[in-house]
Amino acid sequence: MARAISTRRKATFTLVAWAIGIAIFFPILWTFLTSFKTEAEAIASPPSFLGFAWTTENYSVVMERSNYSRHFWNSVVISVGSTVIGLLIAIPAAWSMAFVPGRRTKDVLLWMLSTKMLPPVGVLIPIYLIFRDTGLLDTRTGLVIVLTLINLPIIVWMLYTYFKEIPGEILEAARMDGASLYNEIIYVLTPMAVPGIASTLLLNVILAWNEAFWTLNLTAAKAAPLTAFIASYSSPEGLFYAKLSAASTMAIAPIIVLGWFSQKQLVRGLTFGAVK
Amino acid sequence: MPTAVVPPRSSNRSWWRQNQQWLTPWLFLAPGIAMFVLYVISPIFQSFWLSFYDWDGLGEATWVGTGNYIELFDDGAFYTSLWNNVLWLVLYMLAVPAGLGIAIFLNQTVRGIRLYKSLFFFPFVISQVVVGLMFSWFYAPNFGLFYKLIEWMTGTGVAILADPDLVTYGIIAAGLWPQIAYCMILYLTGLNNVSPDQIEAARLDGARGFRMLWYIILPQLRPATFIAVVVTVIGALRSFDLVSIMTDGGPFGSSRVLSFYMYEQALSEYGYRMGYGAAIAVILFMIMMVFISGFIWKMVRDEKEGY
Repeated sequence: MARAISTRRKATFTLVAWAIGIAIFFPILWTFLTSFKTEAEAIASPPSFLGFAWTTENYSVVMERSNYSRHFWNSVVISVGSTVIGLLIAIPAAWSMAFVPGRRTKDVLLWMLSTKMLPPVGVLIPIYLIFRDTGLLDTRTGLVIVLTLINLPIIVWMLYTYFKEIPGEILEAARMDGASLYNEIIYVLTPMAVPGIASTLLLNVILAWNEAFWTLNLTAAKAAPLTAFIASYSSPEGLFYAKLSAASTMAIAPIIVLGWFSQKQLVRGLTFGAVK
Repeated sequence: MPTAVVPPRSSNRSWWRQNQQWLTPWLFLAPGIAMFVLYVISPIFQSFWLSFYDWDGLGEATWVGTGNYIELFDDGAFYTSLWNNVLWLVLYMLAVPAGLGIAIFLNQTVRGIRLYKSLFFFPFVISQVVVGLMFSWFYAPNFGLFYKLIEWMTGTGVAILADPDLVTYGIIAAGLWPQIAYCMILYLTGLNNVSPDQIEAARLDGARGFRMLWYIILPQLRPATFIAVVVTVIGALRSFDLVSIMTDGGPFGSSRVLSFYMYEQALSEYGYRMGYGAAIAVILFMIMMVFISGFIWKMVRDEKEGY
């Protein structure tokens, strides 16, 4: 008897849990479905969930009309570029903090992270002016620079938490065995640090891919990545919801796919290594 | 810091040998700190400096002293934006307890937990731009799903984004969606680390419900809470993205936040008042400084207590 009740409770629980999960996921699902509707069906009342005539027309229209591939390529260059440069700067910094901590290391880290909490508008005008005067406005180079810097504190913080986990004794042992600093870094540290660096890389690509504030403010037609492209697409084409859904789906698809395959690392990355 | 004495006969190379142990960390830190100072710290000071000038960004800048600030204090739009910023910060913080609540509810085995977690994971990895668009469609009059829902429940639909009193809440709700999902994942992962022994012991001592949560579970979730708060504050400050996508500050400027108002004043077609924009940025900055100092102060204190 007790067993039957607990089974039923469990079933109810599972049902409620899945209802919450699907409610959370619903907006993405809805956008995906809308992208296969005709414009008339997209705004039909009552809305249809699955019983509509599926069409891929929206995708071909978006591809043809709006130079999608260039914006896609901009996104790739900007997110990968800023991540790689960011890592090159951050790896040595995080190494220092993790393995040669000083009295002030924690303070430096917190200070870096705290600037992430400051509103980016605080520096928008000066950076806009610098970019205007150096011809970096609406260029990919400019965006790579600014995104590298904006995400640098997060990269350093994440790498630091990963490096912290590598036992210092191993490095010590290598040093005792006569390994030079160079050998120590290349042969002992790097192999152990690769998983951490990889997840940092993934996380940062995603952050840069999604960045909207700087891309909206510093780019126009030429260097705009997908986020800025979708934002601009929305205003003049105001009412074409199905096409906008198709454009949005294409913009988030790479991230969704990438995210799906690297979920575990990403959860750790997105939580800044605070929880494992 | 040990200062090594360079032996007279040694070459540069052996000087490097002797000192590399303490020097390398500093060399490694240098590029990071240099970039940081150049592009983050120096623009902050530049903003301060600019805020005392009247400047269109091209011609001569004129010194106006505190003129921009005096004008700000009489500017109705400034107060609307400031109030909305406060709303954003306060309501956004709801994501933390909401995420915790869902995580505690779900902290049992759900069938297909891997797929299940992904459902919560996706909202957080998609761009705010797309989030804004999705919610604009939900709120859209006549056919938007949310509009339909309200219409079905109350008889008349409400066009949230066109209503000056509701618009900010509508946008915040859109922002909360990925944020709650994020906090929930954070806490769900954190709950894995909560020691079952302590919970068992507390239960034997008669703790349950809220007391159990407050005294036993929450202290163990402290690292997760720390990150949740940091990321939520950062998220609330990203309000610019959603506001500019969903309403462009409208209707009648009622959904502006300070960052958006600054953008309008300094860099949009409404004007190029760099000094006035910088003054707005400085005010926003000051407010955040209070938050951040409080936050760092608490962190340092916790550290001393040695958690």
